[in-house]
Amino acid sequence: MLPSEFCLRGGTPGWFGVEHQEKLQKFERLVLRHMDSAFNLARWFTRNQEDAKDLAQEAFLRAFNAFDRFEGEDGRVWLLTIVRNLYYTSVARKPQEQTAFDEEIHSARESFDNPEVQLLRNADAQAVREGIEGLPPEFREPLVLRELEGLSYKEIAAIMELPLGTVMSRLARARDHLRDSLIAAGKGKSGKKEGQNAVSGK
Amino acid sequence: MQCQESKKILDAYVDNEVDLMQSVALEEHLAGCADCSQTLESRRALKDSIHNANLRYAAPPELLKSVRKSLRMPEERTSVPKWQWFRMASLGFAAATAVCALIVAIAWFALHTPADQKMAQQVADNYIRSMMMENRGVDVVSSDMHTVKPWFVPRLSFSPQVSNFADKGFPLAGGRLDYLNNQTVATLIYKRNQHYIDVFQYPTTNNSGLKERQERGYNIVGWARNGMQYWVVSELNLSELQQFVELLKSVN
Repeated sequence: MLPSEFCLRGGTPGWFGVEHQEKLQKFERLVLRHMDSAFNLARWFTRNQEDAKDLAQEAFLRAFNAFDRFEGEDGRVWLLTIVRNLYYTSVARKPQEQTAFDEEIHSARESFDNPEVQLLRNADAQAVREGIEGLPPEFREPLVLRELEGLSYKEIAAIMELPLGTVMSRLARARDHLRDSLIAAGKGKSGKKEGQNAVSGK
Repeated sequence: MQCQESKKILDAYVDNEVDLMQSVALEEHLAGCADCSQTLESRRALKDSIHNANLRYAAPPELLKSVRKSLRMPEERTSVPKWQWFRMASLGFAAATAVCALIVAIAWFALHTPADQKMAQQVADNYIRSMMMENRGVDVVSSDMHTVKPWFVPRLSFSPQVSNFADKGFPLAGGRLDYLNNQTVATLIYKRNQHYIDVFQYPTTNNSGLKERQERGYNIVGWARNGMQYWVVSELNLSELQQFVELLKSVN
């Protein structure tokens, strides 16, 4: 390594104060490195690349402004909470507890048997993606946090401001929904269209 | 445990979120309940499908750029963990000292020292400077030549010869970039017991036989062959260093 390189890299505090520099460094270390997590959650909320970028960008600005008040060590849960709150306050309304979607779920369901396991195991990526996108937000959110972000129930409960038991039951129902939509899609693909009939109520 | 209760905690079970007592009770129930076992299998299949689908979105690069911009963060990664500051400061100090030493040395000898003598002085300077750096200024620490050599490739305009002589008692310790003879050169660091040997390499159009010198108590051996100039420097005694040079020449 050349000495001159060190001068250039180490010696550029810029025209901002040392304090701002320190804050930026701490922010980068604790929060900014979770950008993928923030974007992923935003992307699944908005189901749209551009909106997700805007949402994540705004969340980072808010996080930075509120950073002086952040005391924990886990920047990810804190950041995801901000993404979530921002989504519900500025983009969408508070999540409704129940959706019409609920009424459809068990009708598409048939007996437990091995073909179900087979079908789920062979579900293609596109179908899984569409299945999750089709979930109501209150189910989509815990599923994304659990399966794609690998968060614990406790962390999810903190982000969604819900009791642990509710997180557990939301996840169970999210998976029920997803399973049903994959089964419906699988049957649709094999040309029987039974899933659709079931949804429209035979 | 009944099916109703089992279904309640089944998702937490596949997520590894139930305690030992609950999972024992659940497993007992599962052993005797085909219906719940089936649900468990279905859950696992679903989870596998989700994971195999690679559904996590990565943040696009322009997002990072625009966040940095609006936070007035420098584009390049300039943030350095605190522990590195000391290292960088000491490196900077060592480098500054070395540069001063180099300037004085050049000024002193410039007028009346032959070219080889000058090179030997530079080689010794580099060796001494590296001793002042933490971990001898090694940029890539590895005894594996297949790690060290690829590290150099994007950083140099030539491909240095890298070998390991661990079996002969001269293990490779790593590599770093150095500056010698007005160019960036590859430096390989070898060890002999507790002593270090630096090998500098850079392309040359000359060929020359072995030259041995002593510079401020360090032994220096230089030669040029097949378009490559080598300088070997060490605090090691001359006979062991010659042994090392023979090894090096046998592979180059």
